[in-house]
Amino acid sequence: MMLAAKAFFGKGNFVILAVLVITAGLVSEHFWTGENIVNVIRAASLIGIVAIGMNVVIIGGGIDLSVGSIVALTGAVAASLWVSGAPFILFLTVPLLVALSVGFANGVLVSFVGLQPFVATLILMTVARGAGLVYTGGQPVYADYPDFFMFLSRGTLLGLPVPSFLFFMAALVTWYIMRWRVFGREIYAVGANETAARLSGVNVASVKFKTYLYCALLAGISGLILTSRMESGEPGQAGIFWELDAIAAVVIGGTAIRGGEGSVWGAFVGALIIGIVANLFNLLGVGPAWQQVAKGAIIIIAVTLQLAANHGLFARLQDISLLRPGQSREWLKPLAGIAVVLLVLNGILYQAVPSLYQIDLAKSPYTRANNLELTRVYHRAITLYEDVIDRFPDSNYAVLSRIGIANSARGSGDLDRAKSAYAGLLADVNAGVIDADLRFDILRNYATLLQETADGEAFELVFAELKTNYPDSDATREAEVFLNQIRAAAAAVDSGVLPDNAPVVITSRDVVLPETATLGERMDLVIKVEPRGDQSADFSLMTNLGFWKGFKLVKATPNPRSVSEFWGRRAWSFGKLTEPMTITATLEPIKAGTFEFDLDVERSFDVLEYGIVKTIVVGE
Amino acid sequence: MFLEARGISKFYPGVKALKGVDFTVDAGEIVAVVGENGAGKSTLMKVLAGAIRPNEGTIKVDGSEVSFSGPIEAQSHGICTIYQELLIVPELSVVENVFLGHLKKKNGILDWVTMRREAAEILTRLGLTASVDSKAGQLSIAEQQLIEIAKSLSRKSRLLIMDEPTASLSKDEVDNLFKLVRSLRDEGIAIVLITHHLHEIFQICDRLIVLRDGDYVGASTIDQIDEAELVNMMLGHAVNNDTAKHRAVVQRDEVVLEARGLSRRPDLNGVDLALHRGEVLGIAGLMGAGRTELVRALFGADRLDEGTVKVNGKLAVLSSPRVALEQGLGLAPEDRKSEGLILSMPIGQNTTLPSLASHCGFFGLDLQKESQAAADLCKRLFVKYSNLNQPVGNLSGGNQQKVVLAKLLGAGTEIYLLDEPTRDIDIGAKEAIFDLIWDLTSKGNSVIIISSVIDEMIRVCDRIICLHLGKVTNTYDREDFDLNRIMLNAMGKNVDVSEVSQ
Repeated sequence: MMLAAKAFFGKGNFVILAVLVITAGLVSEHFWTGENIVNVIRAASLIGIVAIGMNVVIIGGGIDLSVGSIVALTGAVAASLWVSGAPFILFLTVPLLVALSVGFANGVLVSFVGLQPFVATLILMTVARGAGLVYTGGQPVYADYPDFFMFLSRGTLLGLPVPSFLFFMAALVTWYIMRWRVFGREIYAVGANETAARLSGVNVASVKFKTYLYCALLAGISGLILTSRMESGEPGQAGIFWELDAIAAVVIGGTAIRGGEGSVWGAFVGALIIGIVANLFNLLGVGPAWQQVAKGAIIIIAVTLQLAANHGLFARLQDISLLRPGQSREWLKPLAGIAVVLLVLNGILYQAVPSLYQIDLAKSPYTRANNLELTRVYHRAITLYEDVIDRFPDSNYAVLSRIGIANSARGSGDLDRAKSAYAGLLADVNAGVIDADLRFDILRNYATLLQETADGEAFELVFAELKTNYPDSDATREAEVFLNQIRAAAAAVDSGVLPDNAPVVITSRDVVLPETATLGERMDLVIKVEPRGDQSADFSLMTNLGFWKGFKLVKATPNPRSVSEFWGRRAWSFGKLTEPMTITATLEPIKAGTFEFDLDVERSFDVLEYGIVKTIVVGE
Repeated sequence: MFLEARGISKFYPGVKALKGVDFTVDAGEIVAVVGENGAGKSTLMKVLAGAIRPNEGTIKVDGSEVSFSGPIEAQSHGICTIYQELLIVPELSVVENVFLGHLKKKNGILDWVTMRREAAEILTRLGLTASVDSKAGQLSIAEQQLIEIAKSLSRKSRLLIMDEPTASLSKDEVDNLFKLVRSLRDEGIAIVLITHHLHEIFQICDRLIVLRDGDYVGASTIDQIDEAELVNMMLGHAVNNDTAKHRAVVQRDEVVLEARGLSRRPDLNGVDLALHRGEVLGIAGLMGAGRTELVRALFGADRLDEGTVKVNGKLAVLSSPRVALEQGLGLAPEDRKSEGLILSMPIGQNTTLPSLASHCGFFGLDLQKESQAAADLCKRLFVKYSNLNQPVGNLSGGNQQKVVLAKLLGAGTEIYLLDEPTRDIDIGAKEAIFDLIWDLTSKGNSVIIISSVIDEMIRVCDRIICLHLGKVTNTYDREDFDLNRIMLNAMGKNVDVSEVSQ
């Protein structure tokens, strides 16, 4: 045990990890926050699980380039299955079976057809990536996953995020296999010397075959976690370059790329190192383009230190020909040259396009929330927007997220929340807290909301702002039309006179709506309509959409010719009347609260304000 | 004195490979460095070639002290090494190989005209008839060796270190090589020779130094020493080389392995053989006669075209080494470094690899039991090691061979197929392996042994079959053993008794 501990601490990658963690803590005060540490481990877990599998294949003398594509394919299949409502068992097993089948193909090509692992897995890398795109028609699949599946990426187990827990479990199981199972020992033997292993009675083909299956399975698990985290299957974008990150983690972990040597914990630490490097760059605000370059530098440093450590922790540095004095220093010159060129290039680039070097961490969660909003998964979008505001209160995306929340609230029918959100935003714009560029967006959305709720008083204010700031915009014109309508309606109510071209006569007394109702108990709405002499024509009864959030129409007699929705209202259209008609609509209250019933009439795409407004209170 | 090394010591963690060794060599002489495997010969040669740095000691070239930073610097002082594993790139042409690493340029572009002319000059002098444009990989080992020598001559080499140059050469090729080495000596080049074949030392060398366990034991000129004395210096004791150790324990009535019409064209063309319990059966033949192919086929390592094999009287389909191991057959392959062992793996894990399943409990491998079993096996075969977890590649050749045999022993082998078990190992280890063979047969096991050294087979075998072009040409029982006849037979010459006796 002591020996094992000593061997572990003697490993270079542990030293690198320690150095990195300390450096990270020194250069960024945010690194050592509990939240950040959890984030690092969580982020490293997905690549880490893939790297654990990759490590097994590489120890066995192979390589697997298809893991990134397996991750994408698994996610795409899982998301599609969920969206298409596949049975629960299939949803969980089919994606993993798909991953295994890619591993199976890798294994067959390498072990039985005899292709080079590099070539075989390159084939599967493109085939699997393409298969995912074909399966989903090239589009990302947004999936509204159930909570138990979200647990895979968001939950915690024993105080660890679930992905990290799975990462650790994968490492533990693999460690057991590699150390305590005959299979593990045979992997080392095959990787170190295939011929000798075969002559020692090892079934080489079968061992290699199984390593590819194992690697693919782990990549599949990682793919499931990824799709759970993204709430979508992205056949084109997911897992891009993951094979390279996984190989880098394995190499940093000290596994010999020629096979036969390496440890599971080395790859474990290697994946953590890659995760910490990425996190550190994010904390320091290094842009993603520059990160790619820097990652290479970190790998070369890690591998060099690894080499040094393997030769007895610097004790025998002089035996590494690279580091010998004298003529062999030649290699330093080109390296220094490259470094200088890189430095100059980056200097110029930084001057020209500074934004390349800055990254807003809030961007990706915001984009995800926005995607959800656009696909009308409003409740998820709101939680994500709130998350963005919590985590990055100072970011520009926090303000955008507030707008997003207001829009989503409007979409999901929570009109009160939407109204107060817009009002708050507008106040902040006027107070100068929020950038004035966003004013138009806020006003436009706010106006739309107010049209739906038919809140005349607030609407006048919003319109005034629109008119002063954006007199020429479409939104202003539309608002003006609406404003004229509600003003006319108000006038009509005041005067009791119908507009000249009104096709029917309806008065407030003709509309019978109970003042109270109980949730789930059906009640009747009765409207008496009389033709208006020579003006009689085709018409529609227009009701405000806000009312229909609280009620479900069970049936109406006589039935309207058609039902449609426009201008924020629901229109029941009828033919020209010659004699009076009584419409009885049976409604079922579906939501508690106070609802306004606003009835107007449409004729030839013109809304005529009748000014009939009733109120009903729905109790539990 | 061209090169003078004093008090050279080299330490590795836990091992003193060289302890204060003195060594000198002058222009125009051939010096042999002699010792068992692990005596420090290779380490000394690597120090002289600049491949490793000594911890102590001084090296003087032409009287002035030098410290090599690497082989390239040693070469710039005129010291070149030809390793046993030749550094030839098989895909490149002869001329490219000769000038590899110091290509000649004229005006910044490669000057192939001059290089081809110079390479042709040197190679003609060395007696290579092949074109300088042919691919190096298509030439024989002996010819490739000439390329290596040409390589060092083209660098104006003054000291040539040759590590086991004769290991894979035929007798004629050895004679040619020695003729060449003598002529190089006469031109004033210093030569250091490492070889296991003691008679070669007496054939060609002027002087020798003896190392044992990293210690400098002594030096002598050739005419002041004989073979027995030399062996005594190498081992520290005399070798008991008598034939009385051979025990006949053959049970003629019990055939454990019987092969009929084994064919794998073009290597094997209908081989019949029978092996009795307790018998040591030798297979004599040239390289390429099908010896290695025969045992590989019996072990299931290569597929057979035709033929049947019976193990213990029962028909057996030996489709893979795993199946063969389960049937009680075990193979010690010809090339133990690349086929017999996994050099980077620990001694213990190598030993138990074929028998892993038997150390497996419900929760997987019982590592303690496994390493105990490995230790027991290594002890039974007198393997010298400091730690079971040390890579098997660190062991000397003889000890490596013993580990290969330990593997077979651990796998419960009853029929041992030993392909060149004594190649490149020293006298002490050879005796140990012979002892083991006799020990095995006395316990009811059977052995098939292949060796290029017919002397050895005559000592150890109960019966010898001669193989030529994939066919058995003759069989000799122990009482009929005759070195000359077996040798001629193995070369494919059909001899009859009267011819030999004349």
